[in-house]
Amino acid sequence: MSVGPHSRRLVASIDQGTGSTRCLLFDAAGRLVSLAQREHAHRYPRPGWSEHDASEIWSNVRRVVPQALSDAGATPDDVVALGIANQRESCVVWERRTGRPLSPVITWEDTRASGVIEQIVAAGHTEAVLAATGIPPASYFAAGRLRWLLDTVPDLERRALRGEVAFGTMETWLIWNLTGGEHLTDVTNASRTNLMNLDSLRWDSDMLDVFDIPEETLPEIRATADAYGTCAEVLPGVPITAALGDQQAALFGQTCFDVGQSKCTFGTGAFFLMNVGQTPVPSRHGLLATVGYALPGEPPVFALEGSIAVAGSLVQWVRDNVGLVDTAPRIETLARTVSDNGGCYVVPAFSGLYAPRWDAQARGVIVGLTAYVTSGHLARSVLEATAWQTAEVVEAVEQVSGQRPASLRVDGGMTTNHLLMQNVADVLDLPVERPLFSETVSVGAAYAAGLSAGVWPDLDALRRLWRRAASWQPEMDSATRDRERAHWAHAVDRARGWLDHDPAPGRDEQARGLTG
Amino acid sequence: MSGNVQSVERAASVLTVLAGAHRSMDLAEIASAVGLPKTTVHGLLATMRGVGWVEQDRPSAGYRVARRLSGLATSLDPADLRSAATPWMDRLALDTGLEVHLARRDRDVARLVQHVYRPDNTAQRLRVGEALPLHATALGKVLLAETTGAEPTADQLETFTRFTVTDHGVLDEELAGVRAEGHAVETGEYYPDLHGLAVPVRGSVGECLAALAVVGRRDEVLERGRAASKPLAALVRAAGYVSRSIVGLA
Ligand SMILES: Nc1ncnc2c1ncn2[C@@H]1O[C@H](COP(=O)(O)OP(=O)(O)O)[C@@H](O)[C@H]1O
Repeated sequence: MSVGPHSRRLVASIDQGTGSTRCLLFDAAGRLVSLAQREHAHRYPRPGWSEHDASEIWSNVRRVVPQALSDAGATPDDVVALGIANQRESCVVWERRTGRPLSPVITWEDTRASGVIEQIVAAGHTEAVLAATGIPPASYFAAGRLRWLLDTVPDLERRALRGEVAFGTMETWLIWNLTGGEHLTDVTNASRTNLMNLDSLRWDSDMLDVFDIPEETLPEIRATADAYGTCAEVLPGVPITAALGDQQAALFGQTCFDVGQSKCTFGTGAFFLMNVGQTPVPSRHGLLATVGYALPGEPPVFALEGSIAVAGSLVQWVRDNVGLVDTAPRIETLARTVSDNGGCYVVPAFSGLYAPRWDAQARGVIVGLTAYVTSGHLARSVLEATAWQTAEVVEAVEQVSGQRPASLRVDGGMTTNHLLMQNVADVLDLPVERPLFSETVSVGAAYAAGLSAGVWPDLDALRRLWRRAASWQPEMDSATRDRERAHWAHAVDRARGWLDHDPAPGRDEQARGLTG
Repeated sequence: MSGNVQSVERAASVLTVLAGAHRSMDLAEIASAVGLPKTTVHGLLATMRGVGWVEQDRPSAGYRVARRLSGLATSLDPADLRSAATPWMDRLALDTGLEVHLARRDRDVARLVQHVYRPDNTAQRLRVGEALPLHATALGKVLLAETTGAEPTADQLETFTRFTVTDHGVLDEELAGVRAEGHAVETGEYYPDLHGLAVPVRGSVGECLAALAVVGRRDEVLERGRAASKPLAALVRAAGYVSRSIVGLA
């Protein structure tokens, strides 16, 4: 694959994800040159807890980056910039002097901080937190986790106050290790802590009080595409020129740079983000106001985010727990054995209903069953559940922002399912487009890094790198769409408030954070 | 060596020959290919048929490796195939700048399983599920050459353009060429301005599971009337990656 001895102007990206850490190298034409990845262990020490080991993740970075380089026949000299994308809201604390982790990585799925959040809500801070940070206080965000650590890890709070402790989300941890001690975060990650003021893009002193966080522990906030220092390790001499949260990276990788452009990633869950421009649209109906990206010297670009907790995981569930299919893709083959859902609807409210309905007491239902319904109908309704949940999020985004996207750019594992993508186009009544390279998170980190390092001159150059690989046009007539929407809404009603009728109350059914 | 081991060895060589042929073979052909007497080979075949390793369409017909064993071709789910192949098809499109197709044999047509647009953002229509003629497309010719199924009858060799091959003799010769060279070429036989190259995607015993193609303008896929070396090399590489990622899926 090597093209010559002279320097090749490659851009590297590291995607520190929930399941694995990967390194991808791209050339100046935006083409993937190589990819290496390594999974890390996931621990669930108690119900509701979810942890990674920060040292393991760092050692995986030390393996996958050299692996990607050697697969490409490249050396660090060929790499002009590094961008980092990361699982959001997962965080860790470490000792500044030694860089030794003082806690596990507490992941975004972890709900142990719900007690902290309950206290903050009980103290009446909800509106203030929402006004300052754009997001409500929730155990999903990082601040509650840090407070929990300060309360729980022996001596941590005292040492934190003496400035001996550093806190960070995953990009901060990696930047620290790569540069040998730079303590930095980016605005998109900081916007998911409950601590950053959404107007000033700085740590908010009132929020530090509300969550009782010593500012000494926090990293400095930088723009998305900015100078984060030079690697001393792994890619010696290579500047880190971008960092951003994974969903924002996907928005950037899909080059959604215009107001109203939107993307949806269909994986385990589904994440819809729409570019809303330079003024944040307040969080409402369970949608989250968040920073999309910020370029140095330019006003930040905001996004409205709607998360769907259960999308691909419903397919996984019917595969693993029900045995409906042997592999996830075969859900499509099974669904194609029939021409409609036969009146059957599945509402996968496994841990409540999220945006835009927001009901922690809801639980999943399968309704409309008759003797006529076959496994094919069930397979259809499983896929339609993802389409309808997406439609509800998009409708809520339209209501809250006043913007209707002109099309939807999609990525993620479920986009090879043609029946689902057609169904999404049908129920959204929007064209759906899949780009050529579905690793949009890594692409976004590389684009932001290459932009800031001058590999690409401007956003227009990046826009031109986006290539359509497939598209689906809406084909459903509006009468059918309206009827199906009404059926879906009826099914959702059946799922609501299920736990309110629980004959055995007192089960520990913690309302989780805002999203899953 | 004990007699038992020798018969296993012999059975294995018969299976290897059958798997490599990608079509059914009669007793005499198999016997000459493995260099054993017909009576011995007949015994081996009868035993292997008894345990379900080889099959015959009819009692007097030729033998082939049982689908269950060669496995994937019949049991491979098209959606699994599409999921496994898509990342490599995306890369192939980006590397070559060409439209990429993946098709399976569906009786007397080639059925498109996945379609990746020509990466130039021009308006294109998703053609997944479409049936392509076996005799007039590169994909179809690979599938015709490499898989068994109803052979098109003379009146099924429909004329689409003035380049369409409608003569059985000429087509058979071309298919022999496809088997020998490992790829098929399409030069305006379906649509006059469409040209393409296709190669087989093989399973664990060398059987053809699907065909992968790049499609574009004449000067993009052909060099002096033959497959252009760069897109062909990229195509062969991608088909290898697809094979590796689907073996074991069924
Ligand atoms: N063809 C398909 N049809 C339906 N669901 C699929 C298909 N392929 C994958 N999935 C689902 O998508 C999820 C995997 O997508 P991926 O983007 O790899 O997820 P993540 O990045 O969240 O781990 C799984 O939950 C799986 O069930």
